[in-house]
Amino acid sequence: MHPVCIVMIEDDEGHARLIERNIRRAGVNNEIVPFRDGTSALTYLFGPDGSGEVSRRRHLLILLDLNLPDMTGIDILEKVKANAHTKRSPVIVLTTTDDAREIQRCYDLGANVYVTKPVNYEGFAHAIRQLGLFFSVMQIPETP
Amino acid sequence: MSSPGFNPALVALSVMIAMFAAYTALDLASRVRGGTDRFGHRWLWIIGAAVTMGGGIWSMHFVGMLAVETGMPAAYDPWLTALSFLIAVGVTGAGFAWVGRTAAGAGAVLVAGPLTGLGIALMHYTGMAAMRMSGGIVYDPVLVVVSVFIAILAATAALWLAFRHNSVAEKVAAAVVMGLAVAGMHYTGMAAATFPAGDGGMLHEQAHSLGPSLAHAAAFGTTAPLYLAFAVAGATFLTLFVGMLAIAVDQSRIQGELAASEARFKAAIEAVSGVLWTNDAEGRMVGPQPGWAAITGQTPAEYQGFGWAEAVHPDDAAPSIAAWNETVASRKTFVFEHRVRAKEGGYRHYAIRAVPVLNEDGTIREWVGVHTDITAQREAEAELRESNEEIQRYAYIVSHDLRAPLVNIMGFTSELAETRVELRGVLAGNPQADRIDAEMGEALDFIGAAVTRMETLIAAILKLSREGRRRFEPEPLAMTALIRRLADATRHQAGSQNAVVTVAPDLPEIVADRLAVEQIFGNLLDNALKYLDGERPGRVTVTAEVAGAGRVRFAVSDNGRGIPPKDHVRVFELFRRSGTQDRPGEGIGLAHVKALVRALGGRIDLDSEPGRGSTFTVTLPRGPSMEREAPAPLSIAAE
Repeated sequence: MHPVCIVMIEDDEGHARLIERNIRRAGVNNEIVPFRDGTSALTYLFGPDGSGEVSRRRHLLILLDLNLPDMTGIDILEKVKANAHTKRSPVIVLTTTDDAREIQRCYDLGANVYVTKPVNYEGFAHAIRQLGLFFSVMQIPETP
Repeated sequence: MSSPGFNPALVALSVMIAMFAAYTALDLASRVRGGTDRFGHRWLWIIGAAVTMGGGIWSMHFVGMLAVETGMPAAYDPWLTALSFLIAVGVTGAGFAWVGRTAAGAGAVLVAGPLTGLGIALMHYTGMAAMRMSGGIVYDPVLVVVSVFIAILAATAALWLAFRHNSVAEKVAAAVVMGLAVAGMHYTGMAAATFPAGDGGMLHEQAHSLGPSLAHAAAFGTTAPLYLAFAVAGATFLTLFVGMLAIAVDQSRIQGELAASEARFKAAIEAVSGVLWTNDAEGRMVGPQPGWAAITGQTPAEYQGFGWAEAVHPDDAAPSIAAWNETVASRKTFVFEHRVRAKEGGYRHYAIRAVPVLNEDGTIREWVGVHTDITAQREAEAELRESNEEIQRYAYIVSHDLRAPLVNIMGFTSELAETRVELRGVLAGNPQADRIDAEMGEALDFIGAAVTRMETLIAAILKLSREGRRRFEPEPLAMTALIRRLADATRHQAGSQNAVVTVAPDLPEIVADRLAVEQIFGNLLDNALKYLDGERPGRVTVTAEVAGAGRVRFAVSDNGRGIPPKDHVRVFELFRRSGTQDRPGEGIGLAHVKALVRALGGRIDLDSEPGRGSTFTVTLPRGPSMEREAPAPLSIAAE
């Protein structure tokens, strides 16, 4: 079994910290690679040449916020699902937006799960912990 | 028996009298239709025409009789002579009145023509009967019938000509035909008559005693007819001259009115800041169009025919031509908007309205249209729309961005709560421990409550801004059924407060977005039931009335606690409430209702008195967009 790497693209440091804490509390010990903007996340995912070769044979799970300072999460989602090397990696959209059209658009573009961050912390923490449990049973394919 | 000869000079004079009289009478009679503004005015023209025509016929006849050289003295019965005059006037008057009716169609001359023809014939034979001749008169029945037919045919033709056409040449032609009708009838009638020789001359004394002037004149022998003929002709021409004078006066009045109406028309065009143009019945621009040339800079050669479309914005040209062709085919009022290239460059927005001008027979003579410059209005609207959209985007972004820090506040507050539990263990035994724990607890509770409240407010703003972005899907809504369903949904709430909701059975159907309308009236019913006065049983009624062009005013009335005047505007504001705060709510409902009503193109008003109740009136358009107006063609008489 290959170790799964969790790529967390989240511009709000507080959110990132809360997400990480709760994932850990669920007993998930996988490596979490955080990014606070879209550009650096894209470089990590597709390499400096943008080909996606760097993600070959990686096992990635992507946690994606939609409101980023330099681009929208939807741009990243589109690129991930269009690239041969990353398209099979699960993408979990985790954002404050609960707009029906936005949710629909994310699923249309190939998002695997869409989770709205509840303001209520109990709900938030619970959702993340459930997500963590979900990760532990989830089969992540190797990127081709 | 003698065969009569004719004095050629007097025959010519008689024919001239007939034609001249016919011209004057037809001209007078054709003014009948123009003078319908006053009842008396109209009849004055008919009487004038009848007297002129009847008098003309009568004088023609009389002069014609004097032209006869029977070689025998003749006398006239004055009563029958007068009767023949009255017949001529009366019958021609009836003919003119019939054909001059405002509602007269093309078939009217078929009644008036024979009537006038018969009148001419009747006058002639009455006049003949008035002659007292020693031998009496014998008629050839065939020629009599022929003479009557000539009178009918020619009179019909003359009336048809006189009322159909306008030009002087055509009126002259009509007058010649009418004059020939009268004279032709007369001389055919004379040809039908033979005068058998009597026992030697007229009854001198009897004639003299019966008709002093005429009989006396006749008694002067061969010189008398000439003298008498000129006298009658002179009097006739004098009458006709007076008639012509009346025509001239009327003509100048009409021209004065025409000039005034033209000046008024020009002033009206200036007053509406529009540009006037005319098209022919098929929609082609013909003739000079100074207004159109002034705004577009097109030369007459450029805008002729359908060349005007070249100046219309390329995106608007095809729809404009399609809409225009459809309007021309259906003869409706043309209401449209498009951009037109301005002489000084660029395009300007114009609202167009054009109406067909109809001929008397209902065919389109031309189109008269006005282009009104609405560029400033359109630009202001676009600006308003943009700023509205900006506010909505702003609200949306702000509400999202406010939410993100809230997640942190709430999250880390909860983390602190966890830490507090840990701290409790660490501080165990410390004398300050309880105080520190209590203070931390209080702070954490306040933060939690504030965040919850903040979250509710943000959710409300988000909801409102989303409502503004939602695309409405208009559909026909049977309002009675729709509001009854909403009322049924509140039955439990109403029942627990002993309240009754009555929905009028005759609410009109409107075309609008179902969800929006349900939210509007659902909120209003809910509010009405929420703020009832506990002192009396609740009564909530929903009624509707038509409110002007294409709008319906719905009223939701209650007998609840009412809203004080100072709050009538405030209650529609977000997060604002009125009166005793003893009911749950966030102050969102009415703000939401107002946003929805405005998005549907309507308005909401409040009429309320504390302690009596409130009435919310919602005025909504009947349809989703402005309907094209019903055709209202402008009819202008051909005169």
